[in-house]
Amino acid sequence: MTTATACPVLAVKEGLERFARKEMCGRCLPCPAGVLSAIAALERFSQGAGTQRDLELLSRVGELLPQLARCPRGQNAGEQVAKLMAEEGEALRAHLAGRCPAGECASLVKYKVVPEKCTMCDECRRACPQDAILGEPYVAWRGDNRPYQIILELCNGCGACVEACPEGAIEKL
Amino acid sequence: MGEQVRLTIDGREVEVPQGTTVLKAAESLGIEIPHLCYLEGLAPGGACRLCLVELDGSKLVPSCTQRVRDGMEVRTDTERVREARRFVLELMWSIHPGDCATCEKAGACELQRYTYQLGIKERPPVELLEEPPLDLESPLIERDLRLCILCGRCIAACRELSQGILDYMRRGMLTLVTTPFNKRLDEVGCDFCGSCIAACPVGCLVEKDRKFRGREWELSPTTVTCVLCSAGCELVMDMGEGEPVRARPGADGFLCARGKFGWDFLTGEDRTTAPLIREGESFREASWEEALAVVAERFSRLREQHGPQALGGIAGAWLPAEALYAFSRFLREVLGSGNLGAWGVELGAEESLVLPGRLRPLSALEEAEAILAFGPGLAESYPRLKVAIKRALKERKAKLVVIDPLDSELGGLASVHLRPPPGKELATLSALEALLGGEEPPGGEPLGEALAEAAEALGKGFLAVAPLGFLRDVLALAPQGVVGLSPWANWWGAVAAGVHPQLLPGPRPLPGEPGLGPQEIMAPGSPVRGLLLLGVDPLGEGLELPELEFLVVQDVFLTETAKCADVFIPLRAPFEERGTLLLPHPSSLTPLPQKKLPPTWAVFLKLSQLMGETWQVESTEAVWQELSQLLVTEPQGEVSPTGGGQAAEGVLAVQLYHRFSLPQRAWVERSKLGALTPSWDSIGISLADLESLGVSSGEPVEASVNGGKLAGRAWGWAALPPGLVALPFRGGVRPSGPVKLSRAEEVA
Repeated sequence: MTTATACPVLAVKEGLERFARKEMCGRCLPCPAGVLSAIAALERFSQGAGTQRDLELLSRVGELLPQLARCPRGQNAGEQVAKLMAEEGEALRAHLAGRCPAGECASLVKYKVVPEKCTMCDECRRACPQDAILGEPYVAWRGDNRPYQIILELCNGCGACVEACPEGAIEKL
Repeated sequence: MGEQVRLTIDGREVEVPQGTTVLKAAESLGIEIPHLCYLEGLAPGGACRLCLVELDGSKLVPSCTQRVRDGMEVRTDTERVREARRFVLELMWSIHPGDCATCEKAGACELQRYTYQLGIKERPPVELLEEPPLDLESPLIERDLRLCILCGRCIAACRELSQGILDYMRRGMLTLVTTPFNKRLDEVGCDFCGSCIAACPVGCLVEKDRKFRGREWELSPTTVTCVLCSAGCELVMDMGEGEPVRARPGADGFLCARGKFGWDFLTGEDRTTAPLIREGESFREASWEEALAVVAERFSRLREQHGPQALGGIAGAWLPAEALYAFSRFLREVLGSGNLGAWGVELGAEESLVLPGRLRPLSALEEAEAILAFGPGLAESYPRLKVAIKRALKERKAKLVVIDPLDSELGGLASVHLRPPPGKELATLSALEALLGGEEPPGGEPLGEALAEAAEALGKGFLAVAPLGFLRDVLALAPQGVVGLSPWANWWGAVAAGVHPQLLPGPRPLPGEPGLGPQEIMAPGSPVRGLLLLGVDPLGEGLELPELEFLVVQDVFLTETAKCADVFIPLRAPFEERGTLLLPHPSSLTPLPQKKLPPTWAVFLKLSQLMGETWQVESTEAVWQELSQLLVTEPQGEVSPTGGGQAAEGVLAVQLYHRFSLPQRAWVERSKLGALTPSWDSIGISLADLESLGVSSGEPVEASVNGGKLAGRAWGWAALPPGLVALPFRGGVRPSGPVKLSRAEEVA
């Protein structure tokens, strides 16, 4: 199973989701309920809403699901979580503090406009689903043209503006 | 048996037979291992993972499926085990958004119990991908799948005890335990036996009528015997505030819809508890003294005018033997009449005399090596029979031979299912008898090869089971005895108490001329002028009364028949009277609280005294004492089968005690079972006949049989072969000869 995701939290979450969607039979309780709980906890981590309790839950899923699940597939799902707990402590702590070191957890990534590169073309403002970008298009005869700005409180980190910007003027914060 | 295995559980040595599970081995040491998905008597599934134990200091394994091995070392209570169990319970809570404050199961909930035992204080957040459905539409049973913890016990219970309509549906985190396509229970052929409810460890499955009628710890259980058919199942009735709230299976581990739900007519509002005396077109309430005095006076006068042969009585064989004995004693000794019988107990004197010692309880089938089941749709009529036979097949590897023209449930379980064409059942039985006796069966028998297989499967020792109407025919065949099936719980009690025109209590042969039986008493032109009906309702079955001068009806409700009575005397309802059922062994009836009515035998004692007869009994026990000394325990004489007889041409009828029907119309009308199909007025018709009749299921039809008419609703039933009609059971109708079906305008 290969994944292009660099953030371990997201990678394990996606792995579990794939397992749940394609392989899980759901006939012995720890597997569906445990995996569902783990996915929910990882989801909260990737949104910066993870708690100490979620961390405990994940460590129990990792420790016990491999012993409880009836079949190797369910056990393997538990081992994925166990591996995350054992090897990615730093990443988890960062998420707990509201940061995604790999910059992939959308909710934890914010963007800014590099004023020097901004040409005030208005593409980013139109692309933003959150209406989080302030600015007016460049008008040659006006003297007060100003580069665009992203309001961090409104930004959800979706990255639509990055793709829209023809100048590469938007960067991760 | 296998060899013994020695293992250690929590440091204690134990020796158990090979093949025992660790859970069972621990139980034998008195060590309780928490478990949710495993239920005694059902196949273990290993689904919940709560019963984990530590094996040889390393692996965690579920003890319900793990078999013992020699030298095994099991730990059931280490911190590691407890931690794993806590985790499993927390995961259950994470898919169980239950509110114990309003849950009906609280107090008896196993999730709650184990959560308490393991001291889990915090419930994890509930995580569900989508809200599981809530089934409020099914009759009788409510299913709140939001509470389901996916243990699968109801699946095993439904598969092993009933129709197997529940299963895991969908996959992964969307898994549900439900019916195919999550349809309503009545749409997928549910038997409404409630075995799923009994199996559910949480509050997911609940009786609708039980809701908000008391917390679990407020209910008080009374163990009674079900009297809604002759199977004699033990039933635990949970009482709340003096009223039955819910029935649970007793030691048998099974109740059918009748036992589980069918007693709900007891709580009917319109019980008549005062005697009534006719005044013109209506009744007036009277005291017991006055009413009984009128009865004694009128019966005395009729006897003087027309002689004792102008008096007669018919009793319902659901009453305790004491009541039936007092009734027969009153008719014979006090009125001097031999015209008496039990309604719908179709048993001749000859076979009745042979039955003592040969008649066996239904539970005897569970111990049988081979079983011959003779009769149409037996399991469809008596679901408990199927459970008993399934147990014999599973535990004893018993052989089952079924003679039934229907594609019936028992046929599906049988080693050999002989399906004679309608009307040829008895001929098939005769041929089988010849084969068993080492003779050649009569020629031209189409079932030849199957018959030989059947004879081989049965061997020498087998039990036979048949409805009363065919008991005589199988009695001649079955050396180990017979089980008789009837809607009337105490049919044998009635015969043994002498409620029979040709028998004295015992039963013993009657010296001298026999009297008239129920059919003759009710026939037009019958010489009976004064009639006593005890717990029977012929008019409710669509019959008419003969010309009478005086009618006394003693019954639970003001039935159709009771409305024509000159004197109506209230009667204790089923489950309300102390006494004895003969199943055929005496079985004591524990009464539920009742409405301050005198015991039935005491009514006849009072009537006897009023008519100048002295009968010295003071208690139910004394009546039983008197009757039990008369009981016969050895067969008297032998009986020969009636033989093939002549099959009639045309459409034939069989009579079935439909699984949602009750013995009396007044009971069904007041029960929620009456709304299900097939019930009291369902006339089973094969799909082909239904089409040629141009009628669809549920529409009114009329069946003319033996000169009488039976109105009901068509019920298309795929198990029926064309040319065979399944009439609902009526005590007063014994269909023989062809049946004519026709459309009807409306059901009467």
